[in-house]
Amino acid sequence: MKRFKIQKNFIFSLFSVVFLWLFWLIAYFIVRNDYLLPSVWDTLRETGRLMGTGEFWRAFGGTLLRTLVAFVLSLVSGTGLAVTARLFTGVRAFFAPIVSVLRSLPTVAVILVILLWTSPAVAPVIVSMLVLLPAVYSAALSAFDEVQEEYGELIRAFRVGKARSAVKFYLPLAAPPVLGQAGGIFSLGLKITVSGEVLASTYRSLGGMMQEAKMYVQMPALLALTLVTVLTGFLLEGLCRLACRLLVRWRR
Amino acid sequence: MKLTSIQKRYGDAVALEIPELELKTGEITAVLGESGAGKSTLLGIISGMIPAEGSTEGVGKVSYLFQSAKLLPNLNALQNLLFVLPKGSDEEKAREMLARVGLQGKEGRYPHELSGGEKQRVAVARAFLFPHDTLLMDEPFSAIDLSLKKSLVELVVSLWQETHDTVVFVTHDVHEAALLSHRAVVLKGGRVVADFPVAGELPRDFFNRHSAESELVRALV
Repeated sequence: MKRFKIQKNFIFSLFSVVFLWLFWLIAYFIVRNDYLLPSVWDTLRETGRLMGTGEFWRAFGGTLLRTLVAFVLSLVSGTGLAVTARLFTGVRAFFAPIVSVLRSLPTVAVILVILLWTSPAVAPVIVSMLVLLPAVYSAALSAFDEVQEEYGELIRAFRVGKARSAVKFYLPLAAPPVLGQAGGIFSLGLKITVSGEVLASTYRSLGGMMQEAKMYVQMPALLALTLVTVLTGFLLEGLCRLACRLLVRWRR
Repeated sequence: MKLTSIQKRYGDAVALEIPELELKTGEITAVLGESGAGKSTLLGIISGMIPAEGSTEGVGKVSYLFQSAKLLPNLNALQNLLFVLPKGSDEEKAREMLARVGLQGKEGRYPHELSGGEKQRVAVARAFLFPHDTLLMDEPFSAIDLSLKKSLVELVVSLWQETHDTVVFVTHDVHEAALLSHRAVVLKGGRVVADFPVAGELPRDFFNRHSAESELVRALV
């Protein structure tokens, strides 16, 4: 039954890919201008060509590293802040307006401001972190609230200390829902990092390469880099799901 | 243990009002009542988890046995015991306690690898192992089948015979109360309407109807 469901979901996902491909194909035949919208084939050929160059892999590695740094920093700080907010009264209310401000910050404006303060290599990381932090914080806090709802009575009844509650109770029990959302957050981080790189024209980055492709009107290269970014996002989501399955051995 | 001038209100409604209630040390007291009678509120007040007017004396350190096992799913049976124990507690004692409740060799099993009865046995082990002066039990046998109830009641009685703890036991089942208590306190609308000793030494025969049951039914209805 479970296998049948997985097969059914796979077929629906395949339909979705075919739908996107058809959409591109139809748009290509309507536009009929390779400078505005290159064909799927040209884009795939350009993707293959790019993947054969060292410049692409250095850029890819740089972007991935920036995304990873932003993701890890926001995961650690967001979860840490959420633990503090859960354990200490008043902290949640203190963080609430700060998180709201972070959530509603206009990304492009922040990139431009941070670019003035830092370098093009660092600015995308900071911006990505500022966007991811509220997402991680909210995901972790709502997971902690669920855990508290289910087992909080046990902690109160046996007067378990705050440090032990955090390490053996809140963090492990909240890990599955948080890691479940981590894939989407990681993927969002990649999107924001690449946007930051485009605006900052970061050296050795996918965003920097996109900016260059745009400047020289190399549309197949621009779309090829976009395609790589999208596929990397999928890959990161899949890796997070796998990590969740490997790390969490217990079941509720 | 002595409760004096206890009053708990939720808005205008009185949830519990007990002018005075004295519970004997080393005895099991069953607190009976229908839903909303104030049984769990009374346990909450005794444990200090629910603030209320009045005073509680002689409660000391409290241990808990809940209606559901409430085992942490990320910890195995042994770790679930160690989790609530003070730092530096003897792991060997926890292992012995698990063996005592019939779970020898299953210390490393996670809750999802244990049956419902085994989970509740771990919870019983945790409640008796946690250092305490008073043990509070909140309807621990209400959501289980009859044969399991019999084995768990026997387990709790045999553990009590070793420790002679002061136990306050909330239930709505007159058979459980008659089987397991030295004294029964009946609550109705947040007030004590009956309070009498239950005759006979523990353990009592699970299959025999106890004389206290009819008295309890009369007080409840």
